[in-house]
Amino acid sequence: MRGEINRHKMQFLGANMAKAARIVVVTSGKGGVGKTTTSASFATGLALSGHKTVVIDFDIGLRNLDLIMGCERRVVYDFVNVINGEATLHQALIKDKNCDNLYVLAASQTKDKEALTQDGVEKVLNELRKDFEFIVCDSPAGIEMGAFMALYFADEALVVTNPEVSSVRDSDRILGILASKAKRAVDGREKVKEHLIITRYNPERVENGDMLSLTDIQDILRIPVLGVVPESKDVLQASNTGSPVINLRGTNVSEAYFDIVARFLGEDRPLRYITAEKKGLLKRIFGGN
Amino acid sequence: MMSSNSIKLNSANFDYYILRVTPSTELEQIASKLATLREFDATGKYLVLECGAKPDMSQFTSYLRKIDDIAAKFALEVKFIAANQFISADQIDGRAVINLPATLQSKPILNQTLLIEEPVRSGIRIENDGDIIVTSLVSHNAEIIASGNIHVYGDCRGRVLAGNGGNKKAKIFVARFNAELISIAGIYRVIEDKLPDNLHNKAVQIFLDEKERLNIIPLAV
Ligand SMILES: Nc1ncnc2c1ncn2[C@@H]1O[C@H](COP(=O)(O)OP(=O)(O)O)[C@@H](O)[C@H]1O
Ligand SMILES: [Mg+2]
Repeated sequence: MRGEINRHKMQFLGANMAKAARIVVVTSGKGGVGKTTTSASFATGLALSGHKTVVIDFDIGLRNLDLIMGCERRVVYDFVNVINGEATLHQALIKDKNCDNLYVLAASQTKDKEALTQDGVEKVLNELRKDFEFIVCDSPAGIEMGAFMALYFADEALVVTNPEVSSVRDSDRILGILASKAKRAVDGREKVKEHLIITRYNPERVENGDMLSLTDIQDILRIPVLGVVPESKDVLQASNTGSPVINLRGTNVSEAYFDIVARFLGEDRPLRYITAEKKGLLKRIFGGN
Repeated sequence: MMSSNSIKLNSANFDYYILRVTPSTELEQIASKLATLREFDATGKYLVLECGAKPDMSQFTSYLRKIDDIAAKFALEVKFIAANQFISADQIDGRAVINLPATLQSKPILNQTLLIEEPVRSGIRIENDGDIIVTSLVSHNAEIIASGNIHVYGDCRGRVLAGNGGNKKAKIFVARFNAELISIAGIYRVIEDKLPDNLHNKAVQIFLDEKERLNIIPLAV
């Protein structure tokens, strides 16, 4: 009878927790919305800003963070091996090829989802906390074990949504789970800090009414928007070259992810890429923006 | 949030004490009640657990085990569960569900208001034996179920069920009304089409009239 109903009661007890590593889950409910793309670029951006960061793939059986990070050939031991004591964390952490502050902990391709035990995950996270400033957890889709484990220990959550109804609804569900089932909620500590990231945003299609607008989405979810990432072919291109899209400097998507990282670290930056470009005469005379 | 009547121990004449719990009962409250009980009566050995609201069955066993641990500290055992409108199983976690004699049954505790100050998200259900006040949003697919009245001071897009258990006088008050389903005392209406402009996303109140029809009217302010 306890649980979600009572969670709001003891929220302020955790206020004097030691300031330590922050665990950030990238989650959504729905698959294919851009969680892995966001995890890779966000973690890279944090590392490029000088913060020692590790990004963990919780998508057991369907690993692809290592592909996006371009380190798949170097995966010898994975997250599950560490949990099972078959490898040390040191052996399993893969250092990013471009960035000194960045490490990847890959998911297992062979093991089943049940391999992620709560105790096992906690042990690994606690060990990582000692060495890293940010621990980014790339959640699988759905609301089952893997997704639950990815969010359970989170201090902050990046909720990734596409501008369509089903994706927004799923994000709403995930927000409910974060607020009731995450460890912070269960322990009655201050709740998981929520951030909204809207990806694959296409301002033209929004203006045509084919997609939900930023305001529609905000109206449904009512959490602060950390950033809007435009729909772009550059994402596919980046994944083909095995480098997080944030590294495609100068592209809109890369800029959008740099903005997201900066806002996450406390900087105030206006939202960009949310209105359709006017393709009129003026644009042709004065060039792009 | 600690409400003095969310927990109640009926001392029966036998070896049993009746422990009544509701969704807002804290485990610490149970411990302190049992401690008080033991101060004046050390003879009984068993507890009958009575639920003042419908428990979440998926979590009930673990909740029960936590009460077991507390009870054990006071040399008590949760032996039975009281049958009532919220509990219909034959047994739960190996414990028989029994009918309490009428004289020992608790009266429903009303007006124990539950205040929710965060958005109620899709898939979340909030139940209370008493009123429920939600200060923010109720999302699509979220459910608010109260035996008393329901107040929603933000957007209400989910399902709101007041008077659950039969109170036909219960009412629903909503600041911005766009609910999927409304119900009072089990009389419900699914709202599939957009309501007229004077109700859609407006402040409304909902009640049952003498003929037990659901009325939705603008909330005069
Ligand atoms: N901003 C974007 N523009 C275009 N395609 C994108 C964008 N973000 C993600 N994608 C594409 O969407 C697909 C799913 O992305 P992914 O990050 O793997 O999602 P998830 O991890 O949520 O399943 C991939 O093919 C990816 O290239
Ligand atoms: Mg993914």
